[in-house]
Amino acid sequence: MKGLRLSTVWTLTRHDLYYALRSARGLLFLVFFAVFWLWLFSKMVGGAAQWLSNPEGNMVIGWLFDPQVARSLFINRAPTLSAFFLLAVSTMPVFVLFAASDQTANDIGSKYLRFLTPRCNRLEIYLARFIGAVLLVAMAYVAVTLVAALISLFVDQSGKGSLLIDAVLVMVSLIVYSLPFIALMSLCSVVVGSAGLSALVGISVYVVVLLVVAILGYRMPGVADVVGYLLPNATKPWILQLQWSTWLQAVLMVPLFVLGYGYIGWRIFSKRDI
Amino acid sequence: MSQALISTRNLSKTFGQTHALIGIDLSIAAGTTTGLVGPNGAGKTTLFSLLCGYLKPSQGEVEMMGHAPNSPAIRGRFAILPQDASLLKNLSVGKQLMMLAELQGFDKQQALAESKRVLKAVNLAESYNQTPERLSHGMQKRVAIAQAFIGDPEVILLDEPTAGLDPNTTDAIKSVIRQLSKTKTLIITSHNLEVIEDLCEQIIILKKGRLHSHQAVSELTDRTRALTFRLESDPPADVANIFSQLAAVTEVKLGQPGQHRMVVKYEAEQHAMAEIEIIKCLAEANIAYREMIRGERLQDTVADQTR
Repeated sequence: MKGLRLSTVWTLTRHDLYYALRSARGLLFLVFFAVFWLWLFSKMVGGAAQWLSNPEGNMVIGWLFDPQVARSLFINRAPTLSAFFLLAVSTMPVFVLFAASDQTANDIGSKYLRFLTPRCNRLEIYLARFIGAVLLVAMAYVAVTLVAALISLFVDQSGKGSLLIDAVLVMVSLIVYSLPFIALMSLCSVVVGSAGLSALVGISVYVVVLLVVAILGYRMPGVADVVGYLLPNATKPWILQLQWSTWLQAVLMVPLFVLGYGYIGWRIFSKRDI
Repeated sequence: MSQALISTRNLSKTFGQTHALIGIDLSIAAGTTTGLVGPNGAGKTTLFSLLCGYLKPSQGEVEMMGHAPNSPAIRGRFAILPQDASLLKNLSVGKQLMMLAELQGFDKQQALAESKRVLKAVNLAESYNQTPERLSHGMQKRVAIAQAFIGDPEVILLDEPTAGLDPNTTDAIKSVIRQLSKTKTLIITSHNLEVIEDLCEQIIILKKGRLHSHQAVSELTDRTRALTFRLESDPPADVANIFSQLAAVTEVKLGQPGQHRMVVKYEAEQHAMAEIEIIKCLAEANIAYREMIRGERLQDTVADQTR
């Protein structure tokens, strides 16, 4: 941490966010994200999610995910907000892969970092780009969660107080759940010279580990479980339940992923030629 | 003797099996303007990148102002013009310079004023709100130069500062660099040795990854002891014979075929009229020349040394 200036990290983060909202990459992410959720919200406005709180719908969710998840989300909570949460968690890897793929990659390729390094050190750049990506993803998910909560308020028969608490919990859960994915993309974007390649590396890592887990699962389920923890979505079963006990477990796990991926990425970035 | 502001010790860099730089020991004094030259593949860009901290040495070390190039202690005290780095595509150049100024510690108001000042210095004040995509290559280069002038750096490293610029802009940039060289330490790499000759006091010549020489430019150009002629045509091979009567002439060097170049070296100390006698000899031998300069062209001496 020697030489880390928080004011510089903040300045870099501000610039990164400002540029992300003006660059093709940032705008494309926001457009795809908005179009996807607008389409889903248009379905939810008609009360499509309420079916999931019926016994049949709940059984389907229980079969797809976990009976406990189905009960916690669709029996105990507003179904529209819960359906949004389930979809948001399930689609998170795709959107984060997109939004966070270019933390340092394009700037390594274009050598833009050479304008920055006389003014700030690599740790400041690496941290600021991570925080910038977190803020971009967080802003996007806060916005759609607010819309989902508003729709739920009008469509579902839940109390306003509990809906508000659930909305906040959903918001925080989504941000917490996104952190390991963003940290994984920090790692991927320091090894290549373009955002596209960085996304490809991210997808490849994800797919390869999933395959390894699936193959190991047949012969050595115990080992497969351990290898499965390499993936940033390891906290998904706990996050999805929205229960305080499991939620706290997930929150405690997330820093390990962030520090693990982040540290490997930092080691590469601190030593690589730019 | 000036204090060394930049030094390297046994600096080496390898890329796989390729040895780009081998055991470079350098010491660059404060307040000097130094040119870094050499043929393609000599290791100029590698050495420049190591000095800037873009590359990590495979062996040895670099010290700038007593610190490693990436040390926080020297942030903002040195500035760099990277040769092939691109600015952000979709952001106005003014905004980008403002951002860089803010990173150097300027507040928003100061950063705005500073970004305008440096753009004006490179004659691009009117392009403040334009994105790099809308600027020509030369204008982008000038913006990149402008960012190196932000603040008050003690050391400025310029990689090919005039490459891709038209003659008028080259002159303007050279004038800005000349002005800066009065108070700052500059290192300039360029393939254009006229620029180096014009701006630098010291020259570092690299050859095949090794330090060939580090000396004063004036030592190489030998201004008081040589005349360089650009002739109408290639001189006859025995042209040295026309000076055989002149005791002052010590050496006659001919350029490559087609260069129409001849350098006559002489002893200046004991032969005050040597230059006039050399010119007379040429006239008597009916050898016409288009141009005569005192001393040797840096381009020719460097080419001779690195061939």
